[in-house]
Amino acid sequence: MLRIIKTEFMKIKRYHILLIGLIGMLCSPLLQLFSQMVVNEEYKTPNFDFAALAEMTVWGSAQVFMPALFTLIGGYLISREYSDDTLKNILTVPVSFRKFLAGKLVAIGLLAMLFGVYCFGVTTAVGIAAGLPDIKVSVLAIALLQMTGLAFWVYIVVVPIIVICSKRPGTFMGGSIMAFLAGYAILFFKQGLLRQIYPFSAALTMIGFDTSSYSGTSDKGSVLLAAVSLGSMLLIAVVLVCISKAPEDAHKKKKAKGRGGSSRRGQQQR
Amino acid sequence: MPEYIIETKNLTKKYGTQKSVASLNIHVQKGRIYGLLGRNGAGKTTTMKMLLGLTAPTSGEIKIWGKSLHGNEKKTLSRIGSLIESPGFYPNLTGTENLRIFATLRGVPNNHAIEDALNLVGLPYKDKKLFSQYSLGMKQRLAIALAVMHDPELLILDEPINGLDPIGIAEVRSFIRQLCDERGKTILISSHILSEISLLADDIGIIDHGALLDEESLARLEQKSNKHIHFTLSNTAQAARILELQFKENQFSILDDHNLQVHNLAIPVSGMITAFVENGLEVSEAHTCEESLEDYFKRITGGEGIA
Ligand SMILES: Nc1ncnc2c1ncn2[C@@H]1O[C@H](COP(=O)(O)OP(=O)(O)OP(=O)(O)O)[C@@H](O)[C@H]1O
Ligand SMILES: [Mg+2]
Repeated sequence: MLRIIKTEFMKIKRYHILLIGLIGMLCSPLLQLFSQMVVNEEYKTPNFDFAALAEMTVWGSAQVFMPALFTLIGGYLISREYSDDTLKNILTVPVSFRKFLAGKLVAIGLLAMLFGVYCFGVTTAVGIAAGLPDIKVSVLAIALLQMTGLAFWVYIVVVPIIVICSKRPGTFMGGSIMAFLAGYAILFFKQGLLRQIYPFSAALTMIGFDTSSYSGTSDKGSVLLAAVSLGSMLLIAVVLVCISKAPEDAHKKKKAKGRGGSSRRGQQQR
Repeated sequence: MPEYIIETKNLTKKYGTQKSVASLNIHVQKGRIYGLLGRNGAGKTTTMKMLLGLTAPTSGEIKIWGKSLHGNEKKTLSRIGSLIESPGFYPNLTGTENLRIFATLRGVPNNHAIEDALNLVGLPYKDKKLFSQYSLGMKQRLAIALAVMHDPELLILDEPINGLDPIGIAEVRSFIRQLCDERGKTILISSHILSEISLLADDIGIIDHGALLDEESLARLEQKSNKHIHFTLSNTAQAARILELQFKENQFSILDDHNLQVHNLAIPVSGMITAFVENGLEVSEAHTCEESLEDYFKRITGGEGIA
């Protein structure tokens, strides 16, 4: 298993999709900064300091950037194994498809957390560049923990989508859009049980994020219910991986064969 | 009783209603090169995919090293090196980086394995060129390097010379031969090119429309292909009578008034000519005809021929 994870990191060298991830993640704090700069005075967050930027970035990342980017990158990395026709070389090692998929998902999870750390890095950079006040160690520490933690939990939420998309190579774009919509839908679950167990809300609860000023939730998130919700997502993912089989001949090439039915007995010799 | 490394029993693969492989029984002997010969779409790749567990047989049995493949995949496959259809590698990595990934997955202990494998196929070690920038022949060479890198006892190579230039083909041929002769590897190789197979293989299986038409050693196949003596003379009816009466021979066929073929090569040609001439026949031509392997394949595949 360790070997599989190790090779996954060897494979992503020079992958352009990572650049998309890096740029996408950078957009998260930038977007928050710009929206502060363009909105009317009355809507502006009072005393917009670094802590406020970090908090808003966490919200934006949970709602939009992380779900969409993680599914996109995860789905892409899996679908490449089909389009590059490398799966046959892995399966004949032999590595079972299940193990391969599990290893890949763990590797993508680690990558997601690295993106969380990166998100913290760019947020800090943006904060410094914008000259925001109050960049304190305590604030930085909270931001780092929240962003990395968020990346982890959001990834757990989108893993089932990635696994489902892995069965049909090339559907990961659709999966990414789905993840984006699902993330955006946090806004609709303001109270009651759904607010507690909606996986993306649960991810925010787990990192101790107060959503009241963002999605207008009336009740505080319960860590227990959030854990149940995320635990079930993880369970779903595990079950999906366990029942997964290598899609046989995933890239069906209907080769044009030089053998019309008629030619068989057509030109009998001697 | 020869030792079979690969043995299939009624191996069948159906895609929908079409049988791509139909009741195939092949026998690959230890330390020999087995050539699976068949036209495009004959079922060579499908057969090899089943042998490698890449696709499940619809019915039938596969035994490798005497054990059923089903249930023993892990132990069996790790001793096999394979190349199926087109080379599949990561385009964003160099050849060396690609091999390193598979060496890591396989847990290849030998640090020189990658370098040796690349040397064997004539590719540079630690070259900067990415796989996506490789030429077709280089890609194919890398695929062969991958197949031999972990020093497997059995090689399953699907059209390994695809895309190689004549020099490359000769190189690959000679090192496949070496692997077999010097290091005792067993090799199953497929091709649609008869001349290639006949230059390399010890045993040949001919597959057509998914069915095995013939399985024989190359030597036996060459014997089996039809030989005869062809006569052109003034009167075939009279010649036939001479053959029957004087030589007690009835293995011949009359093509027309002037052409006749004798299938028994044991009768001396000079004796027959003398007898014909003594009986007043005019013999204008007599020669031994040998059916080439190609003609033989054409015949047994029902005129379609190979390649
Ligand atoms: N995934 C698939 N789905 C449906 N039919 C398939 C599939 N793979 C192969 N076939 C069919 O099975 C038959 C045998 O194909 P196969 O690839 O084994 O031939 P081959 O002998 O390797 O030919 P070639 O010389 O062109 O490589 C063909 O008629 C092909 O169309
Ligand atoms: Mg083929």
